[in-house]
Amino acid sequence: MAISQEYESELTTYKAETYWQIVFKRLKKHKLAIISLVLLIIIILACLIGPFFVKYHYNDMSNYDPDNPFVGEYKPPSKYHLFGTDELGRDTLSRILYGGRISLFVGFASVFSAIIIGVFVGAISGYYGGILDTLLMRFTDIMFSIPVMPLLVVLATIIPGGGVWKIILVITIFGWMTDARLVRGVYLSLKEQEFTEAARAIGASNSRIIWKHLLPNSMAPIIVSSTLGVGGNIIYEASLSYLGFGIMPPTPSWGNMLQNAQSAMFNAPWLIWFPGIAIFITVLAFNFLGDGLRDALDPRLKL
Amino acid sequence: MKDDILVQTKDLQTFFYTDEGVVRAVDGVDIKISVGETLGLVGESGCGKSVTSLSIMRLIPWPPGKIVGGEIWFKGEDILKKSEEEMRRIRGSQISMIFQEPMTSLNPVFTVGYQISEAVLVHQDVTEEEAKKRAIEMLDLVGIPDPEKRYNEYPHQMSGGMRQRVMIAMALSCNPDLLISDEATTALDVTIQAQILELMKDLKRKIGMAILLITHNLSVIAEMADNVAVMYSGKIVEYSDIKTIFKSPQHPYTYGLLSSIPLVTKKRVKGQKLPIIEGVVPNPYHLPTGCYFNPRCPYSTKICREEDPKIEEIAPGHFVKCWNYLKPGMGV
Repeated sequence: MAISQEYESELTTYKAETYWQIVFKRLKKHKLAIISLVLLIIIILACLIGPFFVKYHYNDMSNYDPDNPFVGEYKPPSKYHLFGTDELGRDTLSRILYGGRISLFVGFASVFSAIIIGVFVGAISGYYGGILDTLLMRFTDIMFSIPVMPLLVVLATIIPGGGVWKIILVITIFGWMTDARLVRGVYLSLKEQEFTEAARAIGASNSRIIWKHLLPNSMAPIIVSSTLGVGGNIIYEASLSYLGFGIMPPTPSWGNMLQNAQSAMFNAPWLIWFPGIAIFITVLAFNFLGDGLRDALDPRLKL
Repeated sequence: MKDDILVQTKDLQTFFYTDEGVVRAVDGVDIKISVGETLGLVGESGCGKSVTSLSIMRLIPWPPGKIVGGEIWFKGEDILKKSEEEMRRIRGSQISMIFQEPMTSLNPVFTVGYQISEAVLVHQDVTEEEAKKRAIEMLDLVGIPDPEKRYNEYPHQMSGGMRQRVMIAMALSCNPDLLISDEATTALDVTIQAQILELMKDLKRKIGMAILLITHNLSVIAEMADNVAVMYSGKIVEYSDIKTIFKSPQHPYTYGLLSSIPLVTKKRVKGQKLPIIEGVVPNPYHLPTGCYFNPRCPYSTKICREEDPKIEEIAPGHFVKCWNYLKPGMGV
């Protein structure tokens, strides 16, 4: 029978790979992205479990010891303090690891919340179009045109406390617009696809189409944008902390460690190097990974 | 059975409001489909076939399109008076649709099985397990071998014919009363096309649904339809049962369509060209005055250029919209 012939001709492709297997296969060809991925996993794991294994708590002060020139304040890297100590004799390694938790958490959390807002605004805007689209997109434009730094000073004064959540909130408020524009663009093209019409024809509601049918289809650009966004937000946190509007001491973050190191920049350069290198490597790795993902997730590019 | 009307449109008008002007895509269409009947809707590209079917589903995208006039009766109720919520309950469960492009009509990120069971889940109060069972049943019904395994496959793992079967399974999963097939076999190669048509015929016998078959392929119509409506520039120009239309077409356009089919059985003098209908479909922004077909019509007369004819019943069940039907030289 004709059907079984057709079936047999397809047996060759029967054990096809899933989408994510294909994506990973393509990503593997992107050397920089894989190196970055491994590096990021190491950094994240180090920050998560590292603080349990280091000798000193991030706020413990190493006391001056006349018999040991390597403990005390402003000590360069040594076997006692691998990354040296700061002006209070605190262990830089421990602070880098703990501060990494804070910086990475801020990076991930603010990307996550910005993506949620951005996807919501962008999806509604792109799918419904018309007046709703105009209103939402003009609001996005307005948010884009606000000079961020002066407003941050105001926000930092209005919102009490110097906690992690404040900085996540601030970064989110000014970070969702790019995602909104991106997702809107994706939805504009997706809603014209035949499968969207087919979904309407089986009686699926608008909200079901927006969240259940189209959202998984727009995951690729969202994933890329998020990956690049984490790096960007770590920089953002660092800048804000450096200016004194971010994470408040004594809680360490890579940003406020840099600020802290300013006064002793020439006497104790390791205080600048280590948080600087941590930010540099992490952000660079996120950018490489994002680039690699962009290529791997793009079905039009055959690597 | 003839009088058991399932769907009827009365003077349906669907217009598109664009920057260049108003396109009267469907302009006064009356069609009638009885329970279990197959109505073929033929015409050239852009004549309003698809818009007619989308109007019945109330899926005309606004802006720019809008149903501006007429009535659509489905099971004794006017569809145009229903709320969006009520329409959603009808779509997919009582009226289903299969689209032209099987390659793009399935969502690439879900398994085909899930997409069929979703259609069931949207309309029926069943558990996911039951919906899955139903989906596997449907895959089996449309002739997909090894349905349990195929349930978990993604659209890109299937060929065009297989995907169209999945689309049909999806459309039929809730036992609709009316299936709209919008060029469902056009994108498939002829052998698969024949299989799909055979399948639709077979399922129609089993389930007893009516089909609105939209195509520009007259041999598909001949194979499948009970009645035929020929559309031109948003209007029905001829409407009759299948035998009459193929035996004695009365509208010059229908005649032209029929005589431009190459037939193997027909003796042809060597070098003789296949007759064609001269010209192109009129620009929807600048429709000709009088009968829309008159610039292309070999029989056009003065009145054709001045006044648009009304559709007339020239024999029981045979409607023609032409001033000059039954003129000598017409009819095969």
